[in-house]
Amino acid sequence: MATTHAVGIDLGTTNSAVAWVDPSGHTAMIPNADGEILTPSVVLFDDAEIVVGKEALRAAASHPDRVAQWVKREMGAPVYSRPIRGQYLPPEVIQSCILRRLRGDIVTAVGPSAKAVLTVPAYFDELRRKATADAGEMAGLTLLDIVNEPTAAALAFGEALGYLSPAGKPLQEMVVLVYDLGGGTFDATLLRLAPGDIRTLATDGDVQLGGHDWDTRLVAHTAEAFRRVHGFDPREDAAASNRLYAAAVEAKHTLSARMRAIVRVEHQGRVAEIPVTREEFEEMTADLLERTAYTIRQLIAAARLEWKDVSRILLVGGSTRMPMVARKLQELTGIVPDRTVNPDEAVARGAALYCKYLLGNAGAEQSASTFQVTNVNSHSLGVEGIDPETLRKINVILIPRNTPLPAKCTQKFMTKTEGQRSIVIQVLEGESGNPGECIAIGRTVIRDLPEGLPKNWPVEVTFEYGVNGRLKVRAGVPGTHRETVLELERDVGLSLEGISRWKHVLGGMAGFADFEGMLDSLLPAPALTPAPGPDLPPPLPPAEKAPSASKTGRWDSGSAETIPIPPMPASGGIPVEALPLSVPLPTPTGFSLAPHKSSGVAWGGATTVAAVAGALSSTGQSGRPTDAIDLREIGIEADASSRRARRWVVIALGYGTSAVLGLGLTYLVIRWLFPGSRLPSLW
Amino acid sequence: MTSEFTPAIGIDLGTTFSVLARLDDKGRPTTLVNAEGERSTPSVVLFDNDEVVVGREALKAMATEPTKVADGSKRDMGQRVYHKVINGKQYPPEVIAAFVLNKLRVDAISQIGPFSKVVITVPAYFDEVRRKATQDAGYMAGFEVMDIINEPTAAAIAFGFHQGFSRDHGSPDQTHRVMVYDLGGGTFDVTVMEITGSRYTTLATDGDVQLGGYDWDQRLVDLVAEAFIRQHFCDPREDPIAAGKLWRECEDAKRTLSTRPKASVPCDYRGFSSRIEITREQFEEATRDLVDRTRFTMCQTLKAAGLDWNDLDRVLLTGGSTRMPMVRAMVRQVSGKEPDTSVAADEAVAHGAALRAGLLLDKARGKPPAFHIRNVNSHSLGVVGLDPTTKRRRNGILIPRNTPIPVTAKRVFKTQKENQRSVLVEVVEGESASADECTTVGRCTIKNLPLHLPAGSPVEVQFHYSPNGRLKVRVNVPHADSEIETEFTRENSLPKEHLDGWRRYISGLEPTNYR
Repeated sequence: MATTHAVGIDLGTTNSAVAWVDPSGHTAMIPNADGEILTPSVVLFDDAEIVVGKEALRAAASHPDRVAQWVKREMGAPVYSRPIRGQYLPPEVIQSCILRRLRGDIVTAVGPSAKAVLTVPAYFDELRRKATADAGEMAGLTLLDIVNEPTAAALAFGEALGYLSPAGKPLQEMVVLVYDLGGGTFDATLLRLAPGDIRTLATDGDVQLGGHDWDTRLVAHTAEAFRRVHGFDPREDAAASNRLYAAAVEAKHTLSARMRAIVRVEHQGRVAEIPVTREEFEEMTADLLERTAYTIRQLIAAARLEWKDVSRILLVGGSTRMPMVARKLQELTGIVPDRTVNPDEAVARGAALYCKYLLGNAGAEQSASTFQVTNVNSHSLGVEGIDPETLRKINVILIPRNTPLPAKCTQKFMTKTEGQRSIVIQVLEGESGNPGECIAIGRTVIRDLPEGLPKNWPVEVTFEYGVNGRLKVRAGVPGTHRETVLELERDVGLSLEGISRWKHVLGGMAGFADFEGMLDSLLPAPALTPAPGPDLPPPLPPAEKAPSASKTGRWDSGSAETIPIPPMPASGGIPVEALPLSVPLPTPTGFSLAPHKSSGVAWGGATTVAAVAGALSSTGQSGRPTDAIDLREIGIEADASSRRARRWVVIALGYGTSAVLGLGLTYLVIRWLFPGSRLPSLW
Repeated sequence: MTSEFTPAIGIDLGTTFSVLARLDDKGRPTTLVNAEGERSTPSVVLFDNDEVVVGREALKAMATEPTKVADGSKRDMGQRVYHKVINGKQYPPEVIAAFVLNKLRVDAISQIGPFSKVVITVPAYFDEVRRKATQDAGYMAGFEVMDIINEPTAAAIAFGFHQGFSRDHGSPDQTHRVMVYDLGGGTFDVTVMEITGSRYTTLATDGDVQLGGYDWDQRLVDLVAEAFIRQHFCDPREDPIAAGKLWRECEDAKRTLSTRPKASVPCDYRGFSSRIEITREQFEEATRDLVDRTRFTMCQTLKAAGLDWNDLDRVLLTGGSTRMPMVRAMVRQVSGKEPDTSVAADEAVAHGAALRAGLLLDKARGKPPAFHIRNVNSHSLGVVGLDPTTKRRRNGILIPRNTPIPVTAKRVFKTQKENQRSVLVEVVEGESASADECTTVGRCTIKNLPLHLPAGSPVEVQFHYSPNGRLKVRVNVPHADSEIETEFTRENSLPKEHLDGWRRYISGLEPTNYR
């Protein structure tokens, strides 16, 4: 039997890392072609080739318009915020370029028959998870699952401490806080480790907080200092700005080891050397650190624990090397943070272990896993309903956040009008009761209901949330045999067709030149209008964009509009809270989802995780019903064009001012050089 | 922590980079990363006003504050003081090395908990004096140095471990002869070893103290600087800051050239900025003579071991610089074998040292050792005598180089004149017959010989060279019942109280009397 190797990929905001489980069952890092463990998550779209990693990072200073960085922060958005050589690319396409490079390294190191698990921050919502999975798909990876970074880190920690083998030495149960401050995202997760069992208790985070923000503060500080000396701001110029960022990152690293650093800023031939002490740096970033402290305080409250219940704090992510982080945590909790696992490698290693575990469960390998993992969902999931009393739309939460996964929950709703022929089920993600404040992550429609259905006819909606963080929605109308199943797809993002076309393009691509030729067919919006199509060509005719478009034959598209309001009021005609009918309780085990082929292998919680594997096996190739168009597109257009206008004004002003100043200066110089010359007097 | 047993730690104290490895719970060597997340720590120390910084940050400071930075202290090991004055102070090189070791210790402790017993590696050509200095550096850094072993031996042990020689089921009868080609940052070593089952025997060793990846960098810097001069008519090497930056870029480009056919080096100077493209061919052309030097040493060593290329089973490559394809191509061409890269080039030595540490700890716990090591001495050891005919100072060699150790050798000298009351035994190291071309390792004197001893009375000198490379000398004058025995303390080594003072200062640990 050809062995399938288990690979874990930590696709980070600034750096990515890859690990695998070697034949002896231990995790090992896979170095890239440069022999390094970390590959900068930077893509250079060069003419002849697409370069990922260190070289691309270096090129950021000289060719800023060809380089994409920190794309992870924009996952889930329709396009990357900056045009790359005039083209707006979907973030997942850029990420897939990185993954393709990593895949090359994997193939070199362990051969082509590898299956991978990708990691995402626990706080990533459905959209972003899906985008990440798509990126993996486009890169040609065989993805087994998407796993949460803190869970992966805890697994690596568990490995280091021997928690993964129940047969090992007796280890007592403990609660661990994983504090993951990466380049672009922050995550905090409380886990309970018991021999052979890893359980997430609560998770929280901030997708827009990371080492990059620390850099930005330092850049702002130094740019300001530069401006005070030389009168202009190096951040105005993209290349200078990138150079300044690079210098700031260096200085940040220096400040972790030394008490002071010097940032050297060079712009337009001017040089300024700006000294920064560690204290200054800590002062200017204190609020960022406080934000993380706030999050973990919230978290401990959500888990109904106290700091004395927590035995270890695990530091993950390169930004935790800043001395201020460990100090703050110690002040806050009284616990000395643990550095048993390498903060750069823990996530990738843990992902590899998880992958191995999935492979073991799937029976692909005889070595069955010896541990199990329980996750929670990071965002509440619900359905848009209508409050029968106020007739306002409300978010009926089926699965509250921090529910252990997998979870299944059924909720009864009712039809709104008599003779209602179709029902829209709008799936929401978010904590608010107001659907307007939540993210619509998908919808499904039951149509062709028999005529004459009385009002308040029951409608059952079932959410099944797999361990992989993917949602399956099943809605049925008892007595009618009408049922619909929705394997949740993103409303925005690439369609299956788009993905396969991108995959093709990315696969055969050598450089941007080739890429560009294909782009026209892939990016519908011409480059001159700043708003690009979200992705691919076939998001259906433009008519569809309007919410009130005509009916199309397909169940998922326009026709839903026929029934704008008829959804289901909450059960019993009473506000949602009261719906006693079904059991809206998440049942951690109990139910069996797709009866999985290999359930019942050697580990205890077979049902729990078999369900996962079952669900996720279908993720990759699941049919992809939704092609609905993203309305945000418009938002982007407005935004980008106004930004552009502003930029032009600034540039015009800049040129104007420098022209006037230049003339004046020339005049003065001439006067000074040739005092006797017959130049007109200045005044 | 998981420290109910002492972890086995090995340290590769390198010229440019140092690596620390340990044996994990399954007995496999793994490299520990430092606080910055790197597997190898630059062996560079920055003495700032109020702090001592080791590693990458110190390396970075080299360009801007060169007077505060000490690097390459390994090359000065055995000297009384480091060749550069740092902040007006002269540090002994072993003190600088101790700072490096202390950083490795502190970073490792934050991951695996406290430990003190280690094995440190040195190049095979290191003499008595330098080994002692290395051991002292370990002591000052707060370690208990269990052993000092040769780098190629360590690499071979790591290799043997990977091949399964060291395990019980390893084929004990089969003999492998391997050559270890170790091209590091600043030094180059070739060693021919014989591995029989779990026995590691060194047959011959040779090296080049002043050859390493550093020289390749230098060539690349020159290439780039010349191209830059052609474009902009100014030399970036003139300015220390620009030169330092260029150096770092070139080092990076060197690594890129090992994986790609070309690399571009950004170079900014005096407001000019260009990216200079260097192809692998250009680079190989510019460094061909360096590769040839290593080829020459390889052939020499093989000859010294009395072997032919056909007698060798493997050529092991260690040291980061062996990643360069030109090295591999040369080795392949000369030896006719595919070079073996199964051990991680940068980490093999530390891994081998960790395995050695594990062995010593096992021994202390009464377990049978998993493998044996036999080394050779890398320099001939002798005593200065006077040639009776020419009256010149001659080197009377007792232990020729490449003798397997431990070894005991005896040679009889004679007193020079009648009624000689004392005998001076001066121990020298070196191949030359002329004593003045050799290094004095130490001296001892026998005094108060009885009166009226005739000229030509025999004086027996006995050397005992132990496996850790330390030398014991015994001098005996049979007619006089005078005998002295000394273990050599080198002339410029630090006295014990200084060592203890440094130990407190560097590692914050109290002195121990483990020796």
